[in-house]
Amino acid sequence: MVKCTSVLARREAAAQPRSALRIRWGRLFTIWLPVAGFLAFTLLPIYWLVVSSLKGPGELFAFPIAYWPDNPTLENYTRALTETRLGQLYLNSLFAAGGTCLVLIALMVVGGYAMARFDFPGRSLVLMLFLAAQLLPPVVMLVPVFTMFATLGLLNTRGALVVIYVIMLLPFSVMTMRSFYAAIPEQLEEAAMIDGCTRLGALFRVVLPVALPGLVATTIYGFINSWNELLFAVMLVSSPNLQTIPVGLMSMTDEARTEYGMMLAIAVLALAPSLILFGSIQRWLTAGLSAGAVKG
Amino acid sequence: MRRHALPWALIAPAVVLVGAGAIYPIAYVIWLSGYDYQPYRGGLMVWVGAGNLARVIADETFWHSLRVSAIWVGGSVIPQFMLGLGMALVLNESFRGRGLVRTIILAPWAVSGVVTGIIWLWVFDGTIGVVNDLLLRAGVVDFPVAWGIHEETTWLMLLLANAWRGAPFFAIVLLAALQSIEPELYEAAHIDGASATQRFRHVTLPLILDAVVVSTLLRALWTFNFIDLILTMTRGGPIDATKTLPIYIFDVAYQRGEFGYAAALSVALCMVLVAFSAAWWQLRRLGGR
Repeated sequence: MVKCTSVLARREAAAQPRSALRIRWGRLFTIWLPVAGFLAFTLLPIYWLVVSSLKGPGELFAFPIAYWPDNPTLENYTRALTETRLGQLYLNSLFAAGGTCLVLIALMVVGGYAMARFDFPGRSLVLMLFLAAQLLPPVVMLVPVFTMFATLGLLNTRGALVVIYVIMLLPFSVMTMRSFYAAIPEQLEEAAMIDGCTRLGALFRVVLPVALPGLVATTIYGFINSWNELLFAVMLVSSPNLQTIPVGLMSMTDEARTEYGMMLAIAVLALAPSLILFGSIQRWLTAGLSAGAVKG
Repeated sequence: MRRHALPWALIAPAVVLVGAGAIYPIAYVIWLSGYDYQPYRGGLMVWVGAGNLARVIADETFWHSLRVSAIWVGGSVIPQFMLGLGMALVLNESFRGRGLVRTIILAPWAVSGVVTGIIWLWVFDGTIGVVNDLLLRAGVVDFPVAWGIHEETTWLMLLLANAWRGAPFFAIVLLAALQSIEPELYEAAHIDGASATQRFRHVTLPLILDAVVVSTLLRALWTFNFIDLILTMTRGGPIDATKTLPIYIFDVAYQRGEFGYAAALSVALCMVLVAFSAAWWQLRRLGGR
């Protein structure tokens, strides 16, 4: 895509006498200073978290504060691994987020396809249900979901979080997959069906491979959201050995300051997967998000 | 009829799950709001009819939490929108390293509320926080500020943390809107002698207005409901100063175990949200004329 502004900039540059310095000055104020400001605002808090997590217990609370540790150490990380439930928390979060993604994939691959390619009775009703469900306040669902899960015997089980996360993420996922499918020409599966494929065979062999980037982006969106979720994780799971990272982290903010080094280390480890996943698929994710986004 | 069997079979599991997980809770909340129900204390359901709603109307904490919610939503969405618009305008320019800059600037969107809370609590720490250190060095303050115990400084901390995490959402949506504008429109305006400000006001703004209205409404609703950050940073304190309505409902349900009253408060919350959305939509129609 041609950027309008770059076209304009080039024209202005061509119209003016060649003075590279002058053009750079203009861009300094319109581009580089704001970019530097936004980068600093985004990165400095993360930098401070990571640097603090590398300080030993003596240095962490030393005054004046050090912007780079004199003796960087991984002590907080090794202590967190051996002295806290970090390993357990990590596994629980992986199970909740991973399980959610597997179920989501199974349901959104076919559900999104139905919404993209078929006009069936009740389709607009389904659309309305999915739109409304995305606007439902989670805190309103708290009591009903708790009571429902208690009746079903799901409270304090590994499956509880998977079930509620799938329910909360399904509308967005199906709608996003629908828009990815809709961008693929229908002749693709028509050709495959002429060659003897069934409709579903065409979906899995021909259409899905083309829609794979969209599927990956939507799945990772689901992973990040369930990895980060707090409200239902607090409410539906109370036994410590089933808790997820956000719940464990939040309870650590109440603990003694001597434990803060470990809390910061765990926060870094909780942050890492989200940031890495986001970075790897940012391009697709932002495209998909703006295509069918309702959730923040 | 048979040709409709396939799409329905494909979508049915999702419809059943979403229906059970969305419609049932709404119906249940409305039904339960007529009962006094405290499952941890005997768990008897006592029909109180409109008694719970009357209690909501007489509940000072409810009205207080609504005012707090208004500060929380307004103080979050307005700065986040301005920051996000700034980010989108800059990221819409072409410059070296734009891809990397875009990834970094948008990244806080993927950070959880809890980790965001921990990061900013640490930055604003009362004794060894960066903010205090910088202010002391610059001579702005003589003693470290205890950010978390005053109402105003708590809000500053909370809203700044939320802006950090929330501005990328606006940047993402507005950037997409900006990139869908035809370059020819700018060239035409340029040839007609429009200044940069005029081009923004008369070309850019009208064309992204729909994205602005929709994204601010969604963000407002979402911020209203968002409690992770407040739970991590302040738990609604100091002395209820940051207790939004969802935090209050969470307290009533989770800490006090009053499910019936929490349901009644939830019904009130839904009414507030519907009224707010309707008002916002009306405002947009008036503005569009």
